[in-house]
Amino acid sequence: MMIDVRTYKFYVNALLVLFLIVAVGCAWSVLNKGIKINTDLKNLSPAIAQDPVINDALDNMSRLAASQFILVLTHPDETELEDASDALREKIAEHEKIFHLVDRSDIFADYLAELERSPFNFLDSQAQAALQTQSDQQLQQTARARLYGSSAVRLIPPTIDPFGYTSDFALQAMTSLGEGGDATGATTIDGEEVFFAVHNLMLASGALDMGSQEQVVTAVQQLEAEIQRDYSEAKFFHSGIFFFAADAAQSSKKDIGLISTGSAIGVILLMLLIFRSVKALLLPALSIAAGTAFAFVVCQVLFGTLHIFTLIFGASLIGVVVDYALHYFYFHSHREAGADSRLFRALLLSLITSVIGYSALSWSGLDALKQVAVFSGLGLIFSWLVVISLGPFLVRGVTLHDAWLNVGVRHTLDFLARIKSLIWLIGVAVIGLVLMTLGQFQIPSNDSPRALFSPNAQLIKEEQLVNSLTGSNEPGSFVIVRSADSQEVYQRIEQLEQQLAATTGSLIGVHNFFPSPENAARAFELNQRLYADNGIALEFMRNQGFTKESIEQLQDTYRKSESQWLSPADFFARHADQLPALWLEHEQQISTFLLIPKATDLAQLKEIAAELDGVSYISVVEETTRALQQLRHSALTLLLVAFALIAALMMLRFRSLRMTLKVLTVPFLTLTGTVLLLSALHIPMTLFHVMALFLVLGLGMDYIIFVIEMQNNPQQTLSAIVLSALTSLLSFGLLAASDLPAVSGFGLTVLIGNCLNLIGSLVLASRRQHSHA
Amino acid sequence: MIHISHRILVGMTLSLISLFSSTALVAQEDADALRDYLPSGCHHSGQYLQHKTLAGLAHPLVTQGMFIYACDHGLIWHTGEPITETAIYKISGQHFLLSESDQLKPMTGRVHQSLGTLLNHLIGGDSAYLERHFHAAAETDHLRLTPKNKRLKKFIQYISIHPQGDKVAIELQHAAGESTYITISDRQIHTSLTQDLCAQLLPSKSLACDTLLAE
Repeated sequence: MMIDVRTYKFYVNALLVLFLIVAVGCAWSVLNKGIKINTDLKNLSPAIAQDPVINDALDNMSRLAASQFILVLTHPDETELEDASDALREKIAEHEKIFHLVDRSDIFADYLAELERSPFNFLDSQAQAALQTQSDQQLQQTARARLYGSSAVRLIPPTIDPFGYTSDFALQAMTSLGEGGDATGATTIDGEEVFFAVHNLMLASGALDMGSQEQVVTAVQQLEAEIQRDYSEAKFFHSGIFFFAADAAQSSKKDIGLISTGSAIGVILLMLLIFRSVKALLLPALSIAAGTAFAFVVCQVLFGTLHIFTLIFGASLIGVVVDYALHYFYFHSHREAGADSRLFRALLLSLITSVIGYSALSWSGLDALKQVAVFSGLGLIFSWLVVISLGPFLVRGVTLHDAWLNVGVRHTLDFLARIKSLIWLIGVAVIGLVLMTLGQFQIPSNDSPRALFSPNAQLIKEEQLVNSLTGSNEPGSFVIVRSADSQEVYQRIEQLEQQLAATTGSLIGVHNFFPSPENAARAFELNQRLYADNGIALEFMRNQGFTKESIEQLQDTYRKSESQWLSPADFFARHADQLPALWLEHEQQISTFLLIPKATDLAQLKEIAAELDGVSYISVVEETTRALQQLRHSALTLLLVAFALIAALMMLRFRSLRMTLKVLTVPFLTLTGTVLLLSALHIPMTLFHVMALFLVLGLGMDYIIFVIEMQNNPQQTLSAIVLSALTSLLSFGLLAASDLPAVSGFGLTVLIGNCLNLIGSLVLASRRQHSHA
Repeated sequence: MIHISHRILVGMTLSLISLFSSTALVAQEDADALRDYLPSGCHHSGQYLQHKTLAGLAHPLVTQGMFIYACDHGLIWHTGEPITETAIYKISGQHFLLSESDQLKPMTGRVHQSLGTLLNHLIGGDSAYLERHFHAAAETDHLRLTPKNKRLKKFIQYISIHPQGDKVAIELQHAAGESTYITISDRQIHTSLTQDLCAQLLPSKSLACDTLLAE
């Protein structure tokens, strides 16, 4: 199949112009809106529940958790600590545009206002029992003690709640929610007895944007330094996802710098070594710069923000993109009739296989990898267009100085060609067996989300310390109760609590804040004894000197009230940005989250929850592990699908089963060899290792296509492939050095796989040379 | 929760201030002198009479009782009339409520924890503590303490200390038309607080003394 070169170039140029228009439009938008780099680690986690409502709720809770952080201030002297804490609060107030102290007083005030609107529906179990069993005299005595006493906490005015029952209900609700600040106490840290003060803060905006994040980190460091200057013995301990995200962002920035600089230097040196001309740098530099810039601005517009992870992978694109320019130079140095059409066909097939390899990442189910797929695909396509369009103008005068490389390639080919096919078969089998033995005939895997990060050890230590001082609930574990009926939701919570009663404290949920419809109705009915005509509360008020107006008003309010259940939906919707999703209504389905107190027997809770209808125990880590495992298994299946697609493409090209099988032997052995080598090295497979195999497949096919398509120039083709592989190996080798295990795992897999690709391509070329000879 | 603690703080602040206030406060001209009028001793006791004005009540609620303070143990705040109730705020952070029928219940939670800490600091005569949390201003016949903390201001507008001969009155003005007026009298300073002395001061509630003095 011959390609009409002129038509081919026309389409390429037209496409390039179109893409340039898109790029200018996107660049304009980015310039106006500003560059946004996202560092949210959650983008590396899959959706963990099938239900979109639950996932939304979990996302909300994650966002809430991501926007809150804790600063614990310690000092050996209690008074000094109080002064330092006050000073810290004042300094925090100076940064209110970026963060502020958590103050739930507005939420509490709103909650109390809800209760004051219908105070007759709220009675806790103690109050209900008292109203059912105690005499009028006993009830009035208790109310009197409460009114005069100084130990009772009164949240609702006595004119609305003279017996204090609604107030008691509100108090337990607020206690269960936690105070959101102001915790103080004494503790021992590293053998030193200190006093501590907890400061809960909330970010003013999504500080997972890298610019805001740096601003917050600087501000926190600054105010800590100022406090420590005035209180030299003061120490700070930090807690919050924010600090981990900021730390990961710092590592990522380092990675991006290392990979982009290392790759660029490596590519420049190689190009200078081969071409000995600065002009030779123009085409690769232009294609790399244009490709990454295009991908950057388009992705900014498409996604609104770029994940820092995308930039790390983007930096590694240098090693792949430079291949097009390399091949272009090589085949123009050995120009012959019909070379253009073969080169263009080879370059197009090469682009397609690489794009297939990268686009497979979009099937990963992880937002960050989807973005990497789009970024890489766009970058590759644009770079390719630049090379094809501008190549003819920039290739003139560029000559090769690769005699040494050709000699090396020739000797290698000659050596490989001498090895008989049977020896190859035996060799491959022996190596495979050795690797399998080293790997103990197992392919280890690790699907824990923890295997994807390597959080800073100091931050983990601080997180655990702060958690021990402040935390009252299990972090990352919840119970979700669901039903279409409000009363049934409460009944299920009650069932769960009854079964758990022997081993745990009360779960924290909607039932702490709002009574069930039945309980509210019961409370209203029991309150008749207090507030109906001749009710004892009214009598009590008269005896204690309440004004006539206040008594009549309360009596009138009760008379006009109905036993109407107050749905928690509006209250929790109003405070969704600060409270967990304790009540969600969606399409006639109610979902409510229950928080689990620490020291709960989670295994037992899980067991009980599994037996109850509409009750699910969710451990974010366990669910994420399960989701990552499923994704890994799906990815492996998809790898087979991608392999089949490529096989179909090769069948279309060669129209020969034998040839297709021959071509596919290399990627098959490469993929198998990579997996066996990883297991021999006892490196557990994660989703990222599997995703990297797609790229190994794409790059491998890239080399094979050139070996086959450019068979008239086998040595030059192989020299170009060797150079191309070297640049890729450099980029992915640098990726393998990343501090982030997810990134390094990906880089290492491509590094190993691409080494095998190169060896496989050389062997394939040697076999072809052997058969032609 | 701050809401809660401040409401309580209102009630308790007056009592604690009353303990270390004295007639000498009249002579105060500025806030710095506050520390001079705080109790120098470690053990105190006295009587109190409290008028609490609440919205919706035609007349103030009147209570009276006594208190015992030991700097190394904590505070007993005993209400004798018209109800009987005894609160024990231990310096260790454990707090209890002793009912009329001598049933001892722990007062748990951060509210009581914070309150106990505050009371023990204040009654212990920690002038630095008061200075940290209040602006003190000496006026013609009283000393006015205004909270420094914005959130505290939502609940306490000011505290006034009025010396009245050998007594001292403390007025606490807070939002929503509520106020508390406490008169402290018969204040005594002791060299130490023994079980016997405590039982002698509060014969009807020896369990409160046992609880306070227990290690």
